[in-house]
Amino acid sequence: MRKNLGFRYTLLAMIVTTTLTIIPLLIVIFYSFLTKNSSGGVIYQFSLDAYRTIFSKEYALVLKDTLIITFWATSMTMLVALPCAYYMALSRHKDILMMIIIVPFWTNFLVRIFAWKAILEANGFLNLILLKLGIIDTPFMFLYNRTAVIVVLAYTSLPFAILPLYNAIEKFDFSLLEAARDLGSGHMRSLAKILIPNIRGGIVASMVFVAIPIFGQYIVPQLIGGGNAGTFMLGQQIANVFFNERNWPVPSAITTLLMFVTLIGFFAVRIRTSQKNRDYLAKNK
Amino acid sequence: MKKLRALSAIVLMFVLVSCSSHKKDTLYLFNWSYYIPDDVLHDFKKETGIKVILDTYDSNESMYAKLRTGNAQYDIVVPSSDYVELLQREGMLAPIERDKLTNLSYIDEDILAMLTFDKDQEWSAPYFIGATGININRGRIGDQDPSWSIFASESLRGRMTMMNDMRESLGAALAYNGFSINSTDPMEIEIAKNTLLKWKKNLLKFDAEMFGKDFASGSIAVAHGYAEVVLTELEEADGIDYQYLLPKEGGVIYVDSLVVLANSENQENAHIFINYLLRPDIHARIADTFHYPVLTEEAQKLRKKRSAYDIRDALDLGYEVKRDLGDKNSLYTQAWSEILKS
Repeated sequence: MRKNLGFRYTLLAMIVTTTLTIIPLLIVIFYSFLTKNSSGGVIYQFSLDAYRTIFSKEYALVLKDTLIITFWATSMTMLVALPCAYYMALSRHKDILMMIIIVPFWTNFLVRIFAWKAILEANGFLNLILLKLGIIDTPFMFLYNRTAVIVVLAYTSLPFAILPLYNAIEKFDFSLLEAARDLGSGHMRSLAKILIPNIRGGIVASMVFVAIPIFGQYIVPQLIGGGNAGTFMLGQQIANVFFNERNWPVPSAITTLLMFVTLIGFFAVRIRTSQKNRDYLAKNK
Repeated sequence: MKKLRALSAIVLMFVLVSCSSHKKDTLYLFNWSYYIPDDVLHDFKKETGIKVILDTYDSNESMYAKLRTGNAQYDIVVPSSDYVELLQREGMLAPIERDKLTNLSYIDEDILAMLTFDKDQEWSAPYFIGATGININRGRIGDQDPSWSIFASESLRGRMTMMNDMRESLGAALAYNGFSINSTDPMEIEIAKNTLLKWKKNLLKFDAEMFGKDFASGSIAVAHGYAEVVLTELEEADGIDYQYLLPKEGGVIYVDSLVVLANSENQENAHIFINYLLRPDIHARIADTFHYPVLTEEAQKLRKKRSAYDIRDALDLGYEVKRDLGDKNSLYTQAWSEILKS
């Protein structure tokens, strides 16, 4: 008789997830419905004030900036990651290329951000090169604006986009592309019509891996944005309210709300996919 | 059987760790980063046999949040004046036993008189006191009028920073407009906010972490912030004609104080440690390492380096000690997040 040991083996992992993820999240949800105490902490009294605060014009503006940054940073990441992953999947030196992508990420996250500061600064490398080439004659400040934040965010999320894409492209049957070209389709067109639809799962996965962490970013806009217009993200708002105002329910409410939006999105995608699978099965019976 | 043994080993480890975390001859100090030299802690152990374990923070806000949220067990913390009041109000402090702090008598009367947030040092002993001013690179921009209005000068646009610190930056704008840095008047805070919004156009960024390095590398010429931060960076950079300006309109004084937490199990040793830090030779040594102005006449004689300013100069200019604002704190957070967003 085969005993199902799965439960026993996963017990430790389950305990860890429950205690370290689910319980803290429940506390966060619970706190979002309490009254704030201006010396920090909460008063154990039901209140919807936190939700009233976040459904305001002020928060809508922060959300707008955050979404704009997330959109551009994600798009930029995908634009760079797609050709990289494509090239990697076709290359004979896959292992080396994989190393080249992963090794920089052994360096501390903060160190990499400071490296970007050294590149973009007024007396940084980029300015030095442009000055030497005579393209500009006074140093241009690339740092402390929205574009800089987007570029650095895209850089930091690049491997998270390349890896799922690479996985998807590697499984792709390249003879399909040959077939398309045999039938007279151009190179670009066959990529767009054959490759992209076939690796859609990988594209969606990497977009999710990239967009969600960017949406919650705190440290990059804080260091690269310098508190300038258009660089203020929701993560900074949460820190500002939590640390400076010592208001705990409002950040909890933001978190709770985002969690539910994400969950709804997740289930919507799942329902759609299973619907599609069913349709597909019905069609091909 | 093997598995069981491994499991019990893990459990035992947890038990041991939780037991050993509080020993009689160990003190847990929660201090600002770069605020106490390691060799002072080392010498203290040599002298008294008490080991000090240091943990650091970068802002009052994060220190307070950690004390409120975590189960972190510290004996001594070094909050600024406003947070001494807050911690005391929340019942998180143990009273200071003054008779155990014999070295408190070295601190000058007029400096003790300044500590209005804790008269008679019932809850705290001063560690260091500083006045926030303007660091300028005189070689680049020449002599400047000591005034907050420097941030309004368009000719310096893009070469100046102000602190990414709500109380400090709004405090500067409040002082510039002739108001108290502890103002709780919504109108005054509104005016200060508008001043800051005007200044922001000329600023490269709001930054409380990197301005020292940026100043030393020459990428900024005017930095609102603490002199010690810049001076530490300048040790390795030369050729910068440095000057620290205390604006004539006044500004913010921060008093970082040593407090003993109410849940400390080592209050006796905590007092011994605080007394040690107040001893003139130790005080002078710490001040020399980090370029702070000293609090005692005695330490002034012993110190080897000069500080950028004397705290009494700030007092003469009408500088004020930062106080806790209680509920009115939200007036500042409102204004501050508006400034960061626009």
